[in-house]
Amino acid sequence: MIRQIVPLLLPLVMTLAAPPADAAERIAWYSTLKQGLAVAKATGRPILLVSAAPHCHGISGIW
Amino acid sequence: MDRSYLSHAGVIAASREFVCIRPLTYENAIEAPFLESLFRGRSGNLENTVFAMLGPDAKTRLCRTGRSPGFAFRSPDQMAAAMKQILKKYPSTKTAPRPLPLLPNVRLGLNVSSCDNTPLAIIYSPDQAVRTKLQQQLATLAWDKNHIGQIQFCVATRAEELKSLAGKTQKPGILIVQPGTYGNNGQLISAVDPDTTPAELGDAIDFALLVSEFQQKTMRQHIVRGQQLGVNWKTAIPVTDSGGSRRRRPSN
Repeated sequence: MIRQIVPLLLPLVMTLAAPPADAAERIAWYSTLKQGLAVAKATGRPILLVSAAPHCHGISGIW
Repeated sequence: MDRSYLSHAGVIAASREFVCIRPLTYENAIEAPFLESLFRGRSGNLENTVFAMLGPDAKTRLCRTGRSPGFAFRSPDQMAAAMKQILKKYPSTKTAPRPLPLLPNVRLGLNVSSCDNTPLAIIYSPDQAVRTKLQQQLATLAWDKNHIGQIQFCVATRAEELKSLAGKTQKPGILIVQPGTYGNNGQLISAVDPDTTPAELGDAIDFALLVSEFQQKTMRQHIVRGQQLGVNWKTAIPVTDSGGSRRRRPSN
């Protein structure tokens, strides 16, 4: 059961707005080597790896 | 890093058949040596970003490694074409279900979802069995075509891990959060009980995606404002990148 936050608005919003199918497409990332490498090994798929630091000059919230 | 490569439609389309891994640089001492083995900067140290394409064994290098895709490819189109060629060598024959991609903890979950401008879904329960069930439910949703890459996920086992969320003490379930501008706090958008149905869970996620705010950020303004506000992100290991955003030309 959805139990929180503007649940009363949910039916209205879901009616008025399209589902997020039109959202900008993004790459779906595993965030840890442990999880990602295990999936690669299990599936035999190649790996796209891009490491990144989630801060700049000590300020978080930006790559 | 030139992000035009990673937002290129052809690269994204090809990425669906790759296992895409984005380790968080300087946030895991165990991962750092592996990243260093792929690429070190001129200083000989780990830099902010590392780019590689590897075989499933994580050893076979499928292109030139470097700081960014621009080290290996002249353009996003060239990268997309190379990825398609690589996929011919690795035809997908195994159909193992993909697990839910999890960020290491709530702190990094908030920060990364803020960086990506996405909501964060926190699986919160002290009960391992409940967490496993919820992760399995979310995994199905996370990889469907309407949701892939649109939301981040992490796990919390104790209420203390949720102290940076605005609002009352939370009950176990899935908490869907809008991260703050600096990813050091978050606002609860929606929450679902552990016994939620897949349909209700999907509605809650869609609702979060609809109401979450896209925060336009520019690097300079974000940093200046963050410094004024006293934001000071502590990494797990020392940052060894001296320059950061020096632009380098691809060599091929």
